[in-house]
Amino acid sequence: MTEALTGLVLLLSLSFLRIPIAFSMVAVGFGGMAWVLGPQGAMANVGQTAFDAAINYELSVVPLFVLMGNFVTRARLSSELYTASNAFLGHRRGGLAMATIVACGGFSAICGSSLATAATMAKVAMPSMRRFGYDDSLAAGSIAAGGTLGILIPPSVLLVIYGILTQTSIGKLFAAGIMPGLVGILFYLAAVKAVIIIKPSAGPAGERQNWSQRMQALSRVWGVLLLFGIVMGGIYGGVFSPTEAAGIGAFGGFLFALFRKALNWYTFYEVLLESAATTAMLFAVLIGALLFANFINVTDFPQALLELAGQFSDTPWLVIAAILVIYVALGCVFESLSMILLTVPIFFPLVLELGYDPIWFGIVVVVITEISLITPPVGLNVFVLRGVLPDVTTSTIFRGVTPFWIADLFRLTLIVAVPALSLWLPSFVR
Amino acid sequence: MTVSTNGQVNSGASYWLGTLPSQVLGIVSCAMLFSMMMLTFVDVAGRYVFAAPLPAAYEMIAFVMPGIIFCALPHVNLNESHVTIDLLDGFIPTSVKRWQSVLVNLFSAAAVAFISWRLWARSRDHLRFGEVTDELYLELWIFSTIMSVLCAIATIAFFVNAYGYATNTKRPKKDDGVTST
Amino acid sequence: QAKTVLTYSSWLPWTHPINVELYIPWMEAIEKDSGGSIQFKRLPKGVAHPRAHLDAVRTGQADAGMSVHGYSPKRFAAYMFAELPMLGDTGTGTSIALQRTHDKFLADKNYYEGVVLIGMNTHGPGLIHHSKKLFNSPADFKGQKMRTGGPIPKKIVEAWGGVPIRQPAPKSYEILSTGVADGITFPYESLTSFKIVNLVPFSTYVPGGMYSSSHYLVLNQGKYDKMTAAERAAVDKHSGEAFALRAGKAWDLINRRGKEAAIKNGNKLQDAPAAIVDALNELNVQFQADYIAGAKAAGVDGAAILKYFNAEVAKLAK
Ligand code: NA
Ligand code: NA
Repeated sequence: MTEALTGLVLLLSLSFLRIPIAFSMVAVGFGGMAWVLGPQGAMANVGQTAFDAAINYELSVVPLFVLMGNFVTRARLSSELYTASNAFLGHRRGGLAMATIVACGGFSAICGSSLATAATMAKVAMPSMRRFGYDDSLAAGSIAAGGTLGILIPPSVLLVIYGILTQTSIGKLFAAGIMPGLVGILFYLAAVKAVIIIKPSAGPAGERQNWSQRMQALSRVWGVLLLFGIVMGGIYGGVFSPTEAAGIGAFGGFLFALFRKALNWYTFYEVLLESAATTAMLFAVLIGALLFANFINVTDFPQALLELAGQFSDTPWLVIAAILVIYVALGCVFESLSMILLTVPIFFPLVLELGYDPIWFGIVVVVITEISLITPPVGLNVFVLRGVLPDVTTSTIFRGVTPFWIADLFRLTLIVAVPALSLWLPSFVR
Repeated sequence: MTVSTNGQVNSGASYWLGTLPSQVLGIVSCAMLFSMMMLTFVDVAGRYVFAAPLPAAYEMIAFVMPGIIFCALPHVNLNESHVTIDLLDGFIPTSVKRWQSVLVNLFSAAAVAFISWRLWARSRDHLRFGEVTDELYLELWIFSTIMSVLCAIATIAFFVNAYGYATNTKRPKKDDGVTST
Repeated sequence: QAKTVLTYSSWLPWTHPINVELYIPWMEAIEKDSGGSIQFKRLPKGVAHPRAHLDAVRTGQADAGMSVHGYSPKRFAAYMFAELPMLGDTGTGTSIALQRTHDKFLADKNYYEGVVLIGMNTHGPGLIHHSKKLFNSPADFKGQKMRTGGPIPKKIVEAWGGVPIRQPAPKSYEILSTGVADGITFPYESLTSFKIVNLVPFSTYVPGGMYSSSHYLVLNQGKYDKMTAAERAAVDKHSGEAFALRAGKAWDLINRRGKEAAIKNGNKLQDAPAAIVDALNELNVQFQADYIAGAKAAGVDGAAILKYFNAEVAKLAK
């Protein structure tokens, strides 16, 4: 118990000193193992963990889903989505922000990453919201929040990693993410509406489009539907495994980018490099988190936690509530992947022991990590927007995401309270 | 010594030890990523069209993974695009920030150098015990050695950064697009 | 109160039948026979990749753990006969014969440098499970997508015109339920532990097994050396042939449970007809030659090993 808690405090301290989280975890994970196991075992574990984490067939989904997202971004499928949702919603007050949310949801269906979704939609949606005089906070907030849908609506890199960590069916996890994702869209739309009621000037109405314009805009999103259909249809139709689906999806995205003449040699190189760099960055975090988890594994902490939870076996919801509170707190500082890698190995056995469904818990975990992406002080989606929109301050964006953050708490409560919301669709998956 | 707009050094030791290797290895990483995508596609297509999947595609994909990761690492390190909590940045004076950046890069260098060393030790064990992959019987020590060497090159990238901050040829950057899941 | 605490690392979940029926009882037996002086601490998750468990125990990342000879096919080339077809019908017989073969031919080869070898065993006979049909001839394999693990089943599937699918074992449910794979090669036990009894209602058993796989259990050398004589005696009592017997019985038990679950589910089970047995015997000639060549490269007499092993299995079957 002492070792684990000391380790956690050290990890936070180092990270706050601006040392990359990956390397803070390497240092604390190794130091902790050396403390518990002795230096020989700890040193051997570092080499072994780095080697085996990198050489991993199943994790090939990470670079491939990232690559798919980057290809479809170049193929400008995102702008068509935005145009289409705009044609239907843009004429309302706050309509452009609503259109942003819907387009984010649509883009999430072909992109496995939240940050890519936020970055992409920022480039498409921000200029038009500014043109119509939207508050920067509402505009940026809707993009940052809408982007979080990327890891819940399938395909999703995080659901895959959860599936690999817990040996849960990835096909079922993907199916389970759909309804909570749609609920997320509805709640976010409600959040926009609430902002407009409080401050009507935050989101002026755009131009109304007639039905023929709407139908025309809608007919252009076939590319998104096709790609989503191939990836999901392939998985559920038994044509390929979810691991292979990432490669097929990336290839599909590549063909789209190619045929839309969105690729020249340089942009092609940029897409690949960006995806490879993201992969390297994610795997640095992965190796660090594995080392930290290996340290926790050899301490008494997991056992102590299980025993503690055992005392609450009559009121398991208390344990779930405690886990949720811990997640929201961790979500303040950690980004999504480190959070899942650090906590799932600890909490998952606990949750199973209490008799909860692993698929449901996966969705709960991913929804919470979505929230962490827009929770201050460290909200990666917010930082991404800062990068894409350098003239909007961080505090403006955080102010803008607050209504969405509140909507997320309602959604989380709903998903926790009504497991059927997550478990109904997967019940049809063989 | 010339410094381009993005703060990258274009000549001198920092170029030869940092920028150039990161660019060359970056291209290698890209090539491997694209090959992995094609491998998956051809494997699945082969299974249906010819009832013959690509032999050992599983193993090839698994072993291309470290190549993609560790070849892109120098690029990521040099650009300092790792996930970082920069919460206290607003409270730290610029003069301190410079030395903070030096220390952060040295710490990161130590971490990656340590991994490089441990991978090297791993490769010696792989060699000594004759560990091979289970389909193609490829020697594992070749992969662990390559990973170790690439990690060492990635370590140098951090030293280049630390040197840049220390000599004031590199300035602490504002947060730009972080990429993650 | 324990004098020696041993950490055990398992890359299989603790609820896996083989942990419940073999490794946990083995730990408990030692704890009991040491009078409580030895205590095992079961780590919540494995400390390393399955392939790396021998190294993990050698370097003290954990004090005890098991792995599979086939994961190190070059290092353990001398043991690869334990993956061949038609070794024997029981885990007990083949495990004891394997242990005796090790004791007679391989114990002095220093293959387990830096660790104490507790013992070894096979997982009993592996067989063919399919979603749609029983297999009556090699031609039935034509075009069938079969998930295989290890080189022997893969070579058999390829030789008979099937399409081998290489996916991790925990993905079995997913690939069978969606139809990415039409069938799978496993011992009976895996039908229940991977929850695929319903998905593959047709099982074809080749007498003696279509293939097998061998496992070994090791202890950290330093920890063993530091034990008292009484503690070492408690460990030794459950090592070697005693371990092989325990492990073989455990595999026979859980394989039988898997088979009973299949029967209870109304699955169709059959012994392979002569067409398959003959064709497999034909392939086995090459497999055995390959083994002997690999063993020769590793400096051991594979032919003598095979002969001795088969004789021991026959002797034990009586
Ligand atoms: Na998605
Ligand atoms: Na956060």
